[in-house]
Amino acid sequence: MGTQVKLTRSGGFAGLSLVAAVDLDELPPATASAVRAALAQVDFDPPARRPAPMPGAADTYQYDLVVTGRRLRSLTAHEPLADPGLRALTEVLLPLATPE
Amino acid sequence: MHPSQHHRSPFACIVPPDLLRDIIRGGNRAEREAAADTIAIDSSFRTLRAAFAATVAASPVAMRAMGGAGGQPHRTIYDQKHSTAMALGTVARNEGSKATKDPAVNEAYDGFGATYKLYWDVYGRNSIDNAGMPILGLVHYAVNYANAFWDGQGHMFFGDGDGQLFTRLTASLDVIGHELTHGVTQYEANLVYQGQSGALNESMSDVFGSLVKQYAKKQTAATADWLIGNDVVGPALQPALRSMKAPGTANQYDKQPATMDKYVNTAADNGGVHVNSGIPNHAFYLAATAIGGNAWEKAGRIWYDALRDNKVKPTSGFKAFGRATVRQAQMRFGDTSPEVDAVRGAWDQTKVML
Repeated sequence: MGTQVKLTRSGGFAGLSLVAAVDLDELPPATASAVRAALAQVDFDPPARRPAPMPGAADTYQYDLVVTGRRLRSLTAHEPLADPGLRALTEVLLPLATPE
Repeated sequence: MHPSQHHRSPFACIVPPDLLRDIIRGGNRAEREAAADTIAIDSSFRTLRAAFAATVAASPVAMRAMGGAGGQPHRTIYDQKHSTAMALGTVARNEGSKATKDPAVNEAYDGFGATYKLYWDVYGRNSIDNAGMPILGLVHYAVNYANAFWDGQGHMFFGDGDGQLFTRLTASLDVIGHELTHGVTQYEANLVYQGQSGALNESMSDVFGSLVKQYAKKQTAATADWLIGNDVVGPALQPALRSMKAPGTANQYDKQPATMDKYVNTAADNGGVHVNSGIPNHAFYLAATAIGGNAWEKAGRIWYDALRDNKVKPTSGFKAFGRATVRQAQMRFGDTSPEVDAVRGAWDQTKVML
């Protein structure tokens, strides 16, 4: 079974959820490589991300990432994204996302 | 938000614990209890500030030094030039300076002016912190950014929109009023941005955002559209982002409940803060229309007083806030007044059992 990646962007002033759920085996090769490259950079270690919004902040985006394959990895992060891997991943996947 | 993050607020440093202990020693019973609570919880800007205000209330000099006489906003609009950096960009317009050629700059400036005006004219509030705080807007944030947000540190960011979900966010008075009200909430009940208290925080912003628009357009509760974001939604979210009159009907993706039995449990969006805000939003609409006339005068006043009620805590939910609106309506209009009946009836219809 290939690697499945689900990226959800929720919140913002609109509170609208955008979801991109992809199977790397089914993506065009160039897109799949971009996703793999970004994922390799993502730090799933809690101190590197922002599991809650900045104190007092409101209407910033929340990102939820779930990667399934040989093992399950997931994280929740809030804007502004500190992780360059996660930023790169949103640039590749958000254009493929649809409103939920 | 993790509760411990409240403790890191720079505002918490303004009232030294020694001063609170002095209040405990020298104050009346209510003041002693309030100060003791403050030390025990150390979690609310509002209680800290109330304790501070109590110590300087007898000193007009101190009050003037805190924020001047009031009545005049202090606005600065910055051009972020599509950067995602959160540092202040180039100053595009200062308080009192002429309009620029950039509509986003002028809309933010004028929108802040209209928001300040509602809070000052109607509620006697002097800016975000009620002490003349500068109002700082950062426009042209990021590229095609379909969002606006409050950063918790005195800055409001506005994107230019992506043309699909939203057009230029500054073009909406209720969006600008919504964002500034997040600042007001932070300095009052400081509602935690998660779950029910987060949905209440969101609802405060929709309520006063809508009132900014109604006040500027001189619309009554009966003639207002009670829509949020209808001036700036793109084709995907037509005709509006949210409806306080009929939550869940504003656009094809609108899942807002109007009643408590339809409360949405979700991990997305900090526990659905923009979805469940439909319930208190609808309660405000019901109260305002039952009372009649201009919504900012009575219903708005009751909601504003409740946001400042010291029984409303950072983790309060709909029930605690609803009780505060009833209590404030009783204090202002009398126990058996039609206003109290309207407020009770509104929460009852949204199935929030007080």
